Order: sequence, then C-alpha cells, then structure tokens
Amino acid sequence: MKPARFDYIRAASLAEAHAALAADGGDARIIAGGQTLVPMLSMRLARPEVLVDIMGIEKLGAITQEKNAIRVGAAVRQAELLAWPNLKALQPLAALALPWVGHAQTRSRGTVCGSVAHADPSAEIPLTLVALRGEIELSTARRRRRVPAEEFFTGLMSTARADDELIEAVLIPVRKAGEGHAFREFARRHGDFAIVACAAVAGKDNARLAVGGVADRPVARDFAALEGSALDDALDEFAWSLEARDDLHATAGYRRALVRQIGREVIEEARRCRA
Amino acid sequence: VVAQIVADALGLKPADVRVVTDIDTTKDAWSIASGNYSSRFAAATGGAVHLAAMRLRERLTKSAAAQLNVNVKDIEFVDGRVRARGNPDDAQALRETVFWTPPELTPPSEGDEINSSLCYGYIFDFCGVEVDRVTGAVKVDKYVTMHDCGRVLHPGMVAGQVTGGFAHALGAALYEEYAYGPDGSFLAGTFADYLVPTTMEVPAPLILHFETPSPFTLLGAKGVGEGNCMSTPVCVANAVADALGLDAIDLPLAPAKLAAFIHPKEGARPASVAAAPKGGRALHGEGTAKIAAPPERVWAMLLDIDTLAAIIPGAHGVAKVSDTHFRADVTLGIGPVKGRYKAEVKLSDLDPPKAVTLAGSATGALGFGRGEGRVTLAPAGEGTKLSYSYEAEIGGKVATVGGRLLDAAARIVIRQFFEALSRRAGGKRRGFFARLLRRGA
Repeated sequence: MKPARFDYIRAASLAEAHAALAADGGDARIIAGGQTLVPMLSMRLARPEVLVDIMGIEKLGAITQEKNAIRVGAAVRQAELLAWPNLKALQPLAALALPWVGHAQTRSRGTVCGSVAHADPSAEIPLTLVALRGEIELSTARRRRRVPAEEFFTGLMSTARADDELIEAVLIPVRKAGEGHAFREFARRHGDFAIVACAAVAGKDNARLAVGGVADRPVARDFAALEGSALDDALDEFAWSLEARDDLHATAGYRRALVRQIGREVIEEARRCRA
Repeated sequence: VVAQIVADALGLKPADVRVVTDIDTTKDAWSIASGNYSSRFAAATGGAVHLAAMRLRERLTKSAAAQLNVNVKDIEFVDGRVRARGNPDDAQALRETVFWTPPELTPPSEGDEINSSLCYGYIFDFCGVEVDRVTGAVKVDKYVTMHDCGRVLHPGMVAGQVTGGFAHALGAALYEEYAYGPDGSFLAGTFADYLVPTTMEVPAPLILHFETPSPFTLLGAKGVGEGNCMSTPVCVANAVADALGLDAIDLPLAPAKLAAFIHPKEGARPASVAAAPKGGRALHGEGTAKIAAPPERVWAMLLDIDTLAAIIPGAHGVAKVSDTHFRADVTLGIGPVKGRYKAEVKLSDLDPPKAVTLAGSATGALGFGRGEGRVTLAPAGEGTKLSYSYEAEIGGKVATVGGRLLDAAARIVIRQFFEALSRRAGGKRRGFFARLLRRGA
C-alpha cells in the first residue's frame, strides 16, 4: 500500500501549473486535497509520473460571486465552501448537498474541483452541478473555456478535460427567484458511495431531477409541470434509461425503484420549498 | 482486571502490578483447554490469580509477622506496604505460582471430550427496529441487552466488552459480507466494499446486569467477552423478519435484499426506452459501425499488422507471431486508473471477407482480461456495415478493488477499437483541423 515512484511539483503560480501539464500531459495529475487521488496512488490504481500540487497558488483559493454564479477556485476545500456565509442564500442546493460529500474529515481536505476532476458517478458535487446547469472552467497557458457540466462528465471517471487543461474553477449558478430545491441520497453507511443520489430544482412550470450513482455519470432530466401518474410514468422511463447495473451493494432493479421513489419525493419537496 | 484483583488482595494500586501475558508453548501443547480465551478469562484465570494473590498475601503476612515480631492478625496491606497495624514498615517481595484446576475444567478425555466452559453466562436481548419502506434500510431504534456474567469484576471493562461485541455483531447482522462473483473473484477486497459499521451506524445499547455469582469460580465471575456476537445478529434478524412477516432471513440484512420483500414487482421496461445492452458481470456487448470502404478492404485491414498497431487502443508495438496471431504492449485506462498490459490477439473461423472471430487476452499488474468477439462484414451501398458482438471477463486486482470500473473500461476499449478501424478505413475521416481541435478540446 505504497504509491509507485512519482515526481512532485509544487506550483507557485498558475503559469507553473500550466507549464507542468503542458510538458507531461497524460502522465501528470493535479493534486489538491488528495482525498481520492492518494488512496488510488497507494493502491497503485493510479501511477502518474508527475504530481502537480496547486494548493500553493493563492489565486485558486478564492470563492467569488459573479453576476449569476458562485465561482469556486480549484484550491477551495469542500469544508470552506460549506462554511461560506453566502452559500445557503445564493444556492441552497449546494448547501444541501455538500454535507453528504464524504465525511467531515475528508471535506476539510478535499476540494470542490477535485471531486469534479475525479468524476465519480456517485459524487454529490458533479451531481449538483449537473442539476443546476453549472459550468466548469478549464484553462491552459493560452486559452480558457467554460464547459457546461452536462457535457463535461462523459462517463465513469471520464471528463471533457484535455490532458493539458487545468480545472481552474467551477461555476455554481445562483438561485433564481421562485426556485425550490431538495437533495436526498441513500448509501449503505454514512459517507459511503451513494447507491442513489437525487437533486431536484423546481421552478414555476418546471421540475428538474438529477440522479447520481446509477448511470456512469450524473444525469438530469426536466419533468415540466408533470404530476400524479404522469410524473410516475416519466420517472419510470427515466429510471430505465439510466441503464443501472448490478453490483455488490444493490441490484439494477433496486436502483430503479429508488430513482422512482426518492426522485418523486425530492421533486415534491423542491416544489414545496418554492418561495 | 488481573492487576486489579492482585492489587485488591495486596493493598497495591493496579498500576503497580505488571501482568505477563505469555504462553509457554514448549511446556504447554495447545488444545481447547490450553488457553483462557472464549470468555473463560474472568472465570478461570481471574480465579487463579485471586488464589495466587491470596496465598502470597498469607505468606507475606507470616513472614512479615516474624520480622516485625507481631501477631499475624495485626499485619495489614496498605498503600503498597505490609505493616503492623499502626506501625509502618517495609515488606519484602515474594513470588508465588499457583495452578488451579477445578474439577469442571479438566483436560480432554481419551476420546477428546471436554467441558470447554467452567460456567455459563446468560444473555437476554431485545430490540426495536424500523425498516424503511423505500430503501429497505434497517434502523435499530433501541437495543437492550442484559448479561448475567456472574460477579462483575470491573464494570468499565464489562461495558467495553459488551459494547465492542455489540458493534461487531451489528456489522455481521447488517453489513459485513465476504462476497464473491459467479466467477469466484472476491468482491469485498477493500473497506469501501467490505462494510464495517462506524460510530455513525452503531447506536448505544442499554446494558443491564443480573449478577448471580458462579458457585464454581473463586470470584463468582463467569466471563462476558463475546456474548453479543451471538445474540445480536439473531435478535436483529428476528426483529426484521417479524417486521416483514418472514419466516427466515439470511444475513447480512442488506437494504437491497430487504427491499425485494417490500417493493412491488417492477413493471416491464417501457417501450420508449431503447433496449438494454446485455449486462452482468461477464461483460457482453454488441454494436455496428458503418465504414466507407468495401468489405474486401476492411478485411485486409483487420489482418494487417500496421493497421492493428494503429487501431488497438493504447498499443505501443504490435508483433506478428503468425498470420493470425499478434502480440502487443498496450496501455489502457480510464481516468487516472492506467495500467500497462501484454496483449495477444488471435484470429480464427476466418470466412473472408465476411466474418472472423477475434480472441484477445491482456495481462498486467492490475489484472487480466480475456475476451472473444465475432465480427461480420456486410456490403452496404459503397461501404461496409461492420457488426460485432463480444463477451469478456476480467479478474485480478482491478476486478477486486474496482468492480465499478470494469464495464466502462471494456466498453471504451472496444468502442475505440472499432472507431479507429472505421476512421482508418475512411468512415469518419477527420480533417487535419478537426483532429487538431479535438486534441485541443
């Protein structure tokens, strides 16, 4: 349980981090909080040749409010965002979902962008971004782009990030007037990978449900103003479309049942929370 | 506990007593009667220690009485000293070895029969549980466990033993499972899959005592170590079975297992959702690709070493062993999980230019994979419609620790292979700029 040999670069500036990624590309990994990467290194599931530490880049540690979004820099820890005083008012869904990320201990080290980079299909932060139509800001020395979360997560632990790109920030949209939110997840134990996680955003004529832990990435669907059995039918179709699989902890059918039932509960709860 | 027993007898502090916990294996062969495990410690060893301490006390008393020139009954043991009542003085150390074998705790008979316990403790447990109708999760609302472990020698340690046994038992009842796949691979190789309850999952049981001292042991203690390991799984399982109206139920009481008894039968897959790819742990898949080249040309490419080198995902070098047997070094990975593998590809059942069977295997530090696929080529207009179906199995470290990765990995690799074939044959040839943009993307 020891990592294979790797080089370690502590980047002092964004330019240094970009240069390291440009030089080593697919053989380099960014390390921030290390809460997922370090166990993977220790089990030798991941064997990058270079680790680029970005926690010393002051600029990446900021949470800033833009016009319609909260911009969370790559070095912001999950616990910092959760403790940010404006979070609950600006985006209640993020405040609801973050306490479900790992444990208090891992949140005090793990970063928001690190969870996005890892792209675990059960992870709460990618799910929240997909539910809210958030964006991921990627940069190299020469260009910068923002990718919608729904396009960014391409599969299990796979993203639209190119080898030389750094996830510089994520953008969490600010709550729109009259929106209600709800979040629930089910796991075997406190802090385990979610078997099913559901996030809902309800507006005047729309209800959007995002589901994690079932497909190979978080997936969202809009349910307009559907209610009653029409909503049940639509949820059933959504549950089947996620192509759930059997694993040690849950069968595919069980996951679909949870999507139908918890999905309906969070949509109804989000509608009740509209104010 | 031993230190406490000795300290009580000799007027010492428990910290003054050093307990040597060795077994002399040259002297004592191991048998079921050789150790004081299985909750026999308090009953057997505790009794022997008490006996030894009291004999030591007796001899020290006599010795001290002679030295101090006082009556034996005027000797007292206080604050680590032996002294004449009201007249402080030093004591000298003595050593005493005691063997104590009560008639109930004798070695095995000729027929290897033995009464393995000197005395028997009793437990009485009951609990109230809730089973979530949606998730099937079990919540233990209240757990009461009453123990008759005879005389309680050390209340704090008894509470610790009971609580620890209860936590382990709750793990056995609800979480812990050595799970294996149908192919024999171990599925619970990390603590992410082998679930041990944490403090968040273990409610504090209400522990009660009913002290009936054992007549067979010197201190009246009976032992308390593992009681709840036996009583708690049964108690929780009975409560859950009762809640669900079941006669019997297997441990662990996993939510998905219980939900199967609660949830209504699932309806059929809606017609509006596309047919599912075949699932399961052995990986299956199929697909088609349109290639803008005639079948003859695609056929030639599948048998061409340079083409294979270019289209096998992550290939570093392809060597031709025979016309239908190739070797390659490949690097495969999803996300950060990358591994280097030695791959072999064999072609068989050749039906040029219509069909061929590809059998491949890959071995590396992270595990191994084997797969077989049938590729068929049919003319479609100017080009070719390529259809493939495959079956694969994966084992080793990746299968054990990263079960969730496997399906995705196999699908990605196979898709990449046929996409590359299709591109190389001119199917979706990308312009130079398109490729550049894609690289940059």
